[in-house]
Amino acid sequence: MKGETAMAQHPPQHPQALESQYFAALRAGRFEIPRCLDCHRTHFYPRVLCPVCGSERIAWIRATGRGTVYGATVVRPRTERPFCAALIDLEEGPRMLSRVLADPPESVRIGARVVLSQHRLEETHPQFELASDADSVRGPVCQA
Amino acid sequence: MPGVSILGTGLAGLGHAGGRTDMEILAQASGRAVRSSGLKMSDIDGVITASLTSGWWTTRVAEYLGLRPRFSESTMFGGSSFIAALITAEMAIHADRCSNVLICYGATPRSTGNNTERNRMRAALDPQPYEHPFRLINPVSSYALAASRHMAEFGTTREQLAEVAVAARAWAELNPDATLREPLTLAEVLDSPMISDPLSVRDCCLVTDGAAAFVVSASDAPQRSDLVPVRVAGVGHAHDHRQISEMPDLTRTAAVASGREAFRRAKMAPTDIDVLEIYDAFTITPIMFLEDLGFCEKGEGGPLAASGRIAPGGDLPMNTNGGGLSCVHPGMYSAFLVVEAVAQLRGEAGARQVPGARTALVHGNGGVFSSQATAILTTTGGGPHE
Repeated sequence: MKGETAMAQHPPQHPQALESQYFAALRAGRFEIPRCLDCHRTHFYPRVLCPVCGSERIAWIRATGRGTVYGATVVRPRTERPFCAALIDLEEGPRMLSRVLADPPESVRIGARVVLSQHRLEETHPQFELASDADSVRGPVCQA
Repeated sequence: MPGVSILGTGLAGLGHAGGRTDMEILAQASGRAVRSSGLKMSDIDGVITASLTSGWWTTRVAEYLGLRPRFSESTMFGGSSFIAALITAEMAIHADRCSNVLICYGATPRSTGNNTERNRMRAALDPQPYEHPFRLINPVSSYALAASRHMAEFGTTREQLAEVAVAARAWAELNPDATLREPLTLAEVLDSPMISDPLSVRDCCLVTDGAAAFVVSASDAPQRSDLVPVRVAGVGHAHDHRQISEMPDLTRTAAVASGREAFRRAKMAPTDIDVLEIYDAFTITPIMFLEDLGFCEKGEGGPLAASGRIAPGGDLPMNTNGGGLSCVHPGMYSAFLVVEAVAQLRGEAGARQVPGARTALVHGNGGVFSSQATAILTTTGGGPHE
């Protein structure tokens, strides 16, 4: 199917962990999440077995990077600046934990629209930022 | 089937263990539980325990206590482990695998201090590659995410959260074994330093030392004649995620399922409960469990917590020892819930005694709302003497 990348790109004797595939795609600038080819549901985090229907026929799809804040907290470490950690409901359905980059971090509200940020944590971990009205109607912000 | 009952209980090393190790206070609590059961350690032929660190904990505990158990079990369900253990104990006794099961726990996180190396090893052994990199202050931040959602959906307030801590402290003032006993005001909770919004230091359970143990036997087995029989009327256990991003609904826990199962087996309803011991890892946890266990409607937990009904003198007395917030919390707490419930049901709770308490609900929570175990304990009906 268009937009899907087969997961089994490597010889079966050297299968690469889905975790490694996910982070490798992020390093290459692609935010990809798994989609089941049988029940057509997306899920997160990546699994070899669809957690909805049990199928092993899974493919990567490019996520739009748009989502909605489901839960949020300002984390206040002793030795770092406070930051907003949030559970994000991705447009494709699955939920993930991330950070929302906002100043001040208290400005992130539950229900706020967010988009993937170009700023990643430790090179690979995707972070989000509050969407402007334009972002929420425009296409994906994650550039390949 | 006759069911199972709780015999003796034991506590040791509450607050600060004064230099003793986790195994030493666990053994002291276990010895007290076995002796107060009217048994000898050699009568114990089953053991259930769990550890946050050791993979060989059950064999180490049995070795230290000089036990040669016919039945042993240890599954990590976090803070709910020692109530979920009642299911395993009941099944093992009914299957004739053993007669007297010792359920025990001990840890010394207060006296041994915050061990960064140990925390790092724990994270490495239980990897969460999609959560750990975001460096939340866990478990606080995960519960804070749920609290934030509860506030947004139901209008729960910080003041209502704080009332849980205030009520817990009011109970602790009546308990000579509690770690923190000086009065605590609403303003002090609200003004304490924020860790992960909306949870402040005083919204979080203590980090203390402590050990707790109890013995479970068949209800029709001969018992010490002066020991009030405390029957395990029903137990339920359920879990629906490990990490907070996988919790299906941030405001509804698997306590819905564990509570329903416990009440069904006990043939009871929330109106039958005289005293509640509900895991208060954070002020948000009993608020959600009161809802999920059927003591109020979903979303009404905040107003219920602030109503005074859970505090001393209220009609829904909860966490009568002072709870994890003010009494004791050595990493995993549910064994202490059972010990306090048994004290209440035997009328041995001194100044904090709930008059005429005959049926108690204990509810344990593990992980980040991950694992839920509910048990109903009672001195009414079903026992060998009736």
